[in-house]
Amino acid sequence: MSVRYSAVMRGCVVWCGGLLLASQVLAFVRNDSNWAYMPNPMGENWVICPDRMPGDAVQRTKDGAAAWNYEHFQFTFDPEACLSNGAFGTLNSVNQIDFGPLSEGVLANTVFFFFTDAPNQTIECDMRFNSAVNWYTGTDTPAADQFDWWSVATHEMGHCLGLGHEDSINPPPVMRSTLAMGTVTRQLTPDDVAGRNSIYDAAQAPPSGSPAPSSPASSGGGGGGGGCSFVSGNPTDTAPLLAALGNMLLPVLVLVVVRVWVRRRRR
Amino acid sequence: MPTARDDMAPRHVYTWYAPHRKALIAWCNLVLILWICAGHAAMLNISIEELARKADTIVLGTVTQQASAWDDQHTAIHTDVTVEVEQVLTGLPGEVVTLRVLGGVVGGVGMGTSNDATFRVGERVIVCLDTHAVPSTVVGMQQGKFTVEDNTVIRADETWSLNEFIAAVHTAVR
Repeated sequence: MSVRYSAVMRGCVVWCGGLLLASQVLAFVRNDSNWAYMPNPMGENWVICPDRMPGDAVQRTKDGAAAWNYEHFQFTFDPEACLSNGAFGTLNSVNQIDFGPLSEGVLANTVFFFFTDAPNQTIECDMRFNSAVNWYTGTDTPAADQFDWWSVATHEMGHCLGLGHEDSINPPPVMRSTLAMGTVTRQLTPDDVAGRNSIYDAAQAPPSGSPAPSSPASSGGGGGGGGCSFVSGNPTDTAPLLAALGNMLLPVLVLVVVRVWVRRRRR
Repeated sequence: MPTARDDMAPRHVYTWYAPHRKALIAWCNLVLILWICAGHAAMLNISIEELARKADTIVLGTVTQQASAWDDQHTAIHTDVTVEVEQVLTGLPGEVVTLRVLGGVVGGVGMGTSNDATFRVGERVIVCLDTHAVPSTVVGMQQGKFTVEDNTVIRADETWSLNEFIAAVHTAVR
């Protein structure tokens, strides 16, 4: 009997561990092009057109961009201006973020232009937030009927720097294609970080005099190389592995507590 | 003849292993539930039913041709996608439908978007169309395009059997 129960327990532990580790698999998707060919990626002087934007949308847009900053690039914004005459998604040498009508069901849209040389080189990126959406532009949690501007800005900036949608893994990355009302996804997950790093870690180092990195904690090495990879393939990015191990240790801790409790009860 | 060991075994099991087992099973169930919830918390897909209500035409077919071009102002690129119709799920299309999506590659310059559907020649697809637009457009952008592989309908991380999908569309448009 005890052998059977031991086997059941071992099976449970292995199953939980496998499940938790499987949820940490990285599977980021890369767009056709990126800015890695530039000496100072994302230093292309992004412009926010603040016309009719709600609340603190301008600052939240910058916050969304800043989430991606690390030692290999920083998003650089020019003073707010509207330089595209109301047009969106047109090739005009301006990387503009604006607010206006989009198709129903779309929170925001990003359009990027690129040369098709190898590797494909992004030359412009425009972004629009849907003016028909009930936006939350604060820093707390949006109401149940609001969409979080900061989360969407972080997502769209991921498109601009060269990442596509990733819907197949947990925890849901910033680059997941959908966002529920009342929820936030402002923090990069290991999958997002690995995707960014896979593009820009090999890029040219920033020139001297460029700003210092603002988020060294989010930087990592390795990356997934554009396909699927495991956390163990990224030697400096141990957070998800530690989290998984921590989760695996929790049931052991619970067992110890139960054991102590049972012992005391028997006495 | 019962031995001392026989007498101890059940007590050993029920006193020590049973609580462990229950705790472990409870923990595993909790992990599973949280994992499932986390996987679907951010989903706000346009459902098949909603797409079927919004689209006037839904077809199953194969992409036979794509042609990209600049717009008249030479500021944006679109791609006209030709689909040879294999089965009409709803609407009255011809044997071939042509739809337009933003993005494409022309003469060394490409344009991509984060939300428009993309296609490849030879791909077997189900597309939900607004044929009142000229040229036709995909309803729900990339959410209105499904890839069909081995009679499995795929959209992002969702899958349906082809028969199940067709039945859902027919039910929705009834």
